[in-house]
Amino acid sequence: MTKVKSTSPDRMAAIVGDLAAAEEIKALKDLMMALGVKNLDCRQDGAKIGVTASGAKAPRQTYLFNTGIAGVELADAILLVGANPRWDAPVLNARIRKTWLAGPLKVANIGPIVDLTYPVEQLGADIATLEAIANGSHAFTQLLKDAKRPMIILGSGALLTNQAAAATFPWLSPDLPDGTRGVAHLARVPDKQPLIQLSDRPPNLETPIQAFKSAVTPNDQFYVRYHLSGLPEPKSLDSLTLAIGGDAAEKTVTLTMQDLNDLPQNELIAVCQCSGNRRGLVSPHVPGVQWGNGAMGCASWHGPKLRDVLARAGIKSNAVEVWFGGADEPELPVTPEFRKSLPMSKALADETMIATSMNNSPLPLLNGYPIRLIVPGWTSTYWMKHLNQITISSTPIDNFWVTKAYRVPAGMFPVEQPFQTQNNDTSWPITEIVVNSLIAAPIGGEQVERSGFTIRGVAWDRGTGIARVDISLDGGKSWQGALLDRELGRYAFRTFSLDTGAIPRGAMEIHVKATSNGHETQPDVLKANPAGYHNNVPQRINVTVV
Amino acid sequence: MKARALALLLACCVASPMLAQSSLAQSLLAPGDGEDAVETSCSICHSLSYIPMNSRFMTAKVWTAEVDKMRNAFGAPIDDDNAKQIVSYLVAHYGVQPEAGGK
Repeated sequence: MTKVKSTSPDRMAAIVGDLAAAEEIKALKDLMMALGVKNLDCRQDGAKIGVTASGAKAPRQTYLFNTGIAGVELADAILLVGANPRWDAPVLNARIRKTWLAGPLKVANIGPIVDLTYPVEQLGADIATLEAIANGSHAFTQLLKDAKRPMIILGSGALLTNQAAAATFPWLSPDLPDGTRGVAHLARVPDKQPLIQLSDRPPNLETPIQAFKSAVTPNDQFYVRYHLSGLPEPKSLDSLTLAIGGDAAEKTVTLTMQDLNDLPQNELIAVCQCSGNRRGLVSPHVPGVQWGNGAMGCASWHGPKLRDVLARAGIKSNAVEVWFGGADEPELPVTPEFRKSLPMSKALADETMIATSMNNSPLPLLNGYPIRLIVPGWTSTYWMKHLNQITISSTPIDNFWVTKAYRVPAGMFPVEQPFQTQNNDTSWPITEIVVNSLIAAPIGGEQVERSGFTIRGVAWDRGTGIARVDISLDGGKSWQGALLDRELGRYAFRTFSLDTGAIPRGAMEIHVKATSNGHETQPDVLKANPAGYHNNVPQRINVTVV
Repeated sequence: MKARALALLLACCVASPMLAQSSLAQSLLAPGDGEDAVETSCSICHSLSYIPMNSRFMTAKVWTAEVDKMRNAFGAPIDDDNAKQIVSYLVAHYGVQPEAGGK
């Protein structure tokens, strides 16, 4: 008690584990409040509670037990969802038993079978049962309808599910497949704020759309994409070296981080965008990781130019491609390793570099620590993470990830610098990023004020720069030019904004469309391709003016 | 449902070790014939979330192509019988009829 008295309330905290019952937790909370302690949390199990769609703190009424304990006695039907009141809240359970003893009370349960002190009808243990009740196809719906004072008790078990997460995050686009909306959830991985996780092995996490109000994406919100589950041991990366050789190299050299730091240094702000960004929004859907809008980011990259690094080994005149490998590996030895190559023209280009830092910090572990290849203007499949191997070659690479994957129909997306050694009659490797734009505020489904609001977002392309961004507030009928902020570089996100001025109440459909200095404009219809790449149809969001 | 009758109640700090361990999230895949084969084979290389994530829009033909890709391109150790069982499970629980899928 002396210790408590001598400690400032803002340096004390209470964390409640899974073994505590509600009444005990309330007693602890009352004690902490009396001591002036505001640092409290009961979500050790990761329950999806307390946060609104936009990431703000949820209002108290969204999670309050709003009838009060005594109110239980008024109920004539109770549905338990993911709760075991006998363990979780014994006082509440005693009230339910008292109510059952006193008169007709029907209790039903969805979730694990629980042993209670009154009869309970077991309806099921999955979300489908809940959906059936909600849409009226379940017999229990009628009972709820007929009841004078039905009551639903939602336990934290229900809040642990990914489905609960999807329901809590309406900013997952409604255009995503239902299954994706079901599994997507916020997760924390090393070096990161919570990101939208689509898979954990290999880790694939996208950046929440709110991050794209600014031109530079913070490292701890930058998306994560891996193909193979054999991630390198973090400790082994501290001493990673870069081996350079190949039949078209003058000699073989191994460079350390210090060697890279000793070369002339370059700094460049560039967009790193997954080829499959927005695949999940393609209609009809195509197989693959169902990305929404957030498989991209823009950062300031620092390190030597690739051509200066290659010069350390020397390039023979017969070189046609430079091949790249990283420290991540397949789970099975038979699975093709993830390898990529660049044509000499892009490998030697002024902008192509090796990043030893990202936004003035070491690269996050899952963004390629300690070094990553930076290929501005090209999709991030070429941006090899944990880069440890460079081969200067007189022949084109023959690897699944180049010759079979990451390809688009030949000629469908014209490019300025063709990847000649990998093009064939039917398909080309995906290379240059197509012009695109994204509104990050407001978010689809949000309410906006009739006095007017500001639309903010980013636009980008393969490096010609953004000429204009047009926005429609009436579903595409009329358009107006947005204000473009200063350009941070031709490969960077260009931020834009538009003040709407006063607007009438009601539904509003906002569209956005960018045009590049290369005279490319986002197409109204997707150029359909099997892998759902290059989805740059104008974004459409629906908001309600209130 | 009678007006003003439905009270949505949410007991916030309700948690127990039993719930944490047997929560609704535990079985990621729908129960059914072939579930074990899918869990055993697919999870060698990747998390099972790839399956529900890619639903429901793939026809039997598209699911077959995906399983073939895992076997042929990535070398997943799945024999013919096993592959048939896996595809039929995926189609039954995470697939669509050709008309509905548009593919």
